[in-house]
Amino acid sequence: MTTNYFGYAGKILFINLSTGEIRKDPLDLADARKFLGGLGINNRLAYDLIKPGLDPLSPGNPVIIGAGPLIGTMVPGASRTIATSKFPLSGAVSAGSGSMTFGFNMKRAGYDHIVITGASEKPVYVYIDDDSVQVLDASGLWGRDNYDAVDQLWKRHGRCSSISIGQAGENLVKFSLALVDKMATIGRAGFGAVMGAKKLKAVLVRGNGGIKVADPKGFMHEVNTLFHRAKSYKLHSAAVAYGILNAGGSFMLGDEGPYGLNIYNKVKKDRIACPSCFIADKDVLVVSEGELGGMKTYTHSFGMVATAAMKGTITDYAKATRIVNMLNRYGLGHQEFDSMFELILEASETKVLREDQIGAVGRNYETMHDLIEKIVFRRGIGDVLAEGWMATASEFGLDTNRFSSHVKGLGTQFDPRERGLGTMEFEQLVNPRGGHHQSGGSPSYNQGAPVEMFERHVDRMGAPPDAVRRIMDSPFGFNVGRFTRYSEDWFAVFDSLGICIRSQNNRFYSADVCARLFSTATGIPVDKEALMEAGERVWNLYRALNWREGFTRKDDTPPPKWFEPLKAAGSEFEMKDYFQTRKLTREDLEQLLNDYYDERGWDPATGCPTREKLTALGLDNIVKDFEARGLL
Amino acid sequence: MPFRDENNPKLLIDLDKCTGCLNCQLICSFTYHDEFNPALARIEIVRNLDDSKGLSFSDECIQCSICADYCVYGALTRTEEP
Repeated sequence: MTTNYFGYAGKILFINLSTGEIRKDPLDLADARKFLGGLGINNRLAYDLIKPGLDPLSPGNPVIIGAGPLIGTMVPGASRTIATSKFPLSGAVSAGSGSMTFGFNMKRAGYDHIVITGASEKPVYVYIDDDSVQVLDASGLWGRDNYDAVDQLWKRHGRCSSISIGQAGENLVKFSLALVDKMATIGRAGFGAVMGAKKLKAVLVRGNGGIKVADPKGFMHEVNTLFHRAKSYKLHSAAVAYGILNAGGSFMLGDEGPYGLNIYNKVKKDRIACPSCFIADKDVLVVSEGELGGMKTYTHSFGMVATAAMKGTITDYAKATRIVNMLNRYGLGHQEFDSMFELILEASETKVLREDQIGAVGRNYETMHDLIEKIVFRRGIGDVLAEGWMATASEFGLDTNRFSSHVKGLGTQFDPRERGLGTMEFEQLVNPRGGHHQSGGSPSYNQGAPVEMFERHVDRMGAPPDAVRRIMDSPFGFNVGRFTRYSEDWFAVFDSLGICIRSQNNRFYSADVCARLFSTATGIPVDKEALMEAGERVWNLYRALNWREGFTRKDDTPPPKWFEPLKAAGSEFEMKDYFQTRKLTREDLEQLLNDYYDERGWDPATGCPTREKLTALGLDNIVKDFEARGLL
Repeated sequence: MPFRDENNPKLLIDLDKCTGCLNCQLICSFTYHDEFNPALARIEIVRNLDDSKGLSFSDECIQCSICADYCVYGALTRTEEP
């Protein structure tokens, strides 16, 4: 497909499953300048399409898939596809991201964004093959798991890219997700159920076109510089060998033990890269012997197997792999399942939940296996658990704050009592989609990072010098509240351009490099200030989308558990800052939140953008809309 | 087992190391057609998730071997012709 667009494919595809209408609109370059693409234009589309207060499982909730302007080129790691919708677990307008070849194919088919609205009465899948767009019968696929269904579809249509759901999405489990190419997860917190409610089993896309750039010489100069830096990176071979479990050249989980390097090397059969990635990190895992011999599954990290083994004290790697295989095939969110598992065990151990209510449970493989089956197929108690742990707690009269750590109804992944209040831990409070971390490769992902590294990182992300001074002027070494603003804007730029934010990839980029890549690819000239302002605009819009749904500062509240000691390994751990300077109080957290809103130029009372900020970012339409709604 | 393709015997191909990143196809199409488009590349990669893997060069390949310069995984290596 040849277009007059550079970087962009040039079209937005709209599919209405209720009416069967299919429409292709040209991409508005004014939107491209303002919101870049990917996450940014998804947000802009969501603002128009999501009626405030709508039920996430109603036909009106759109599925918006975006692929940024650098996807399809050789920019390292530019394969990040974004799926935006209102997710049912939290009720927040959320953007999930996943890689593999979906964005690559949709760009090559001619589409920067795909918007699916309405709902079908019977199971369907969407098949996009360049210009041809068809909604086809999926009744023979309904009830099949992700791997099985996609294999059938590939047999029918040949190799293409897929976003699919398993039985968890079909059965509207509130923490179901979708898989991209059977391998990458997308949309924790119920994106799978959004597709399931539309009776949409899968979206397939194959593109045979190409992507042109505006300034080929200038563009390749930037790509080559990145490429050579990455290739000569001293930890490149370790990053390829261990994926995200690379810890400074060693395998993060040790050499021996039930999930050590010995097991990883035994089960890892192959590596898969997303298009243009130089640090392939998708694993093909195969159990080689025993009762489960021959079982094959795919993950973005062997860490999933290790987590299952740790949570369930499973010493047999084959069984831990089977848990991951079940979650993948059914399309159940592993983080939320882990939270649910912990809630049930803790409530059961403390006799708050009785055996006649929940059955015999223990920290073992059998309980995990049984709970997954019950939740996915909504059997017995599983019908309650499938609604999420807030609903579960409500059903059994449990205090959600006692048994779980959540923000906006979404379970947190990083507990600051374990390693301190770093960027990932803090960001879970203010992220529009709830307890989620998108910290832009912050140094705090690793323990023991020197304070200078934080200063370099925030400078690399394009923060102006006065902001760098404000961030670094802190008794805690750096001010995580102020820092987070730039991590989020940086993330917004990456997810809008389509570049993988993982620290292994993002470490080679700076705001300057991203601005030159965008300018030479698209022909739209921007400097780093303009690019980062676009990132800020995208994030403000993300927040505004959720402000409109009723989320404000009151929903950025730290989980009460964070203020209690964490008992683990015979010791007690309290929440401290990243550098472990001292114990943090509620007042400290409130001050860090104030600092975050201040750095954003938001109203600290509401935790939302001010009229002045929205106007400065050129979001005048939102000012008018919010004035009419009484929000401004 | 590493092998050679008759259309470009200058390169040693090790399929076990191919991850399917497609950089070889992207640089080939960009070099000769000014766009990133695997369909126009003179090197073809078959890299399915399951067991099928393949790598070959088309008749148009002029053995410039720029593809090998952009392979970071060691699947393509410049060598002397046998």
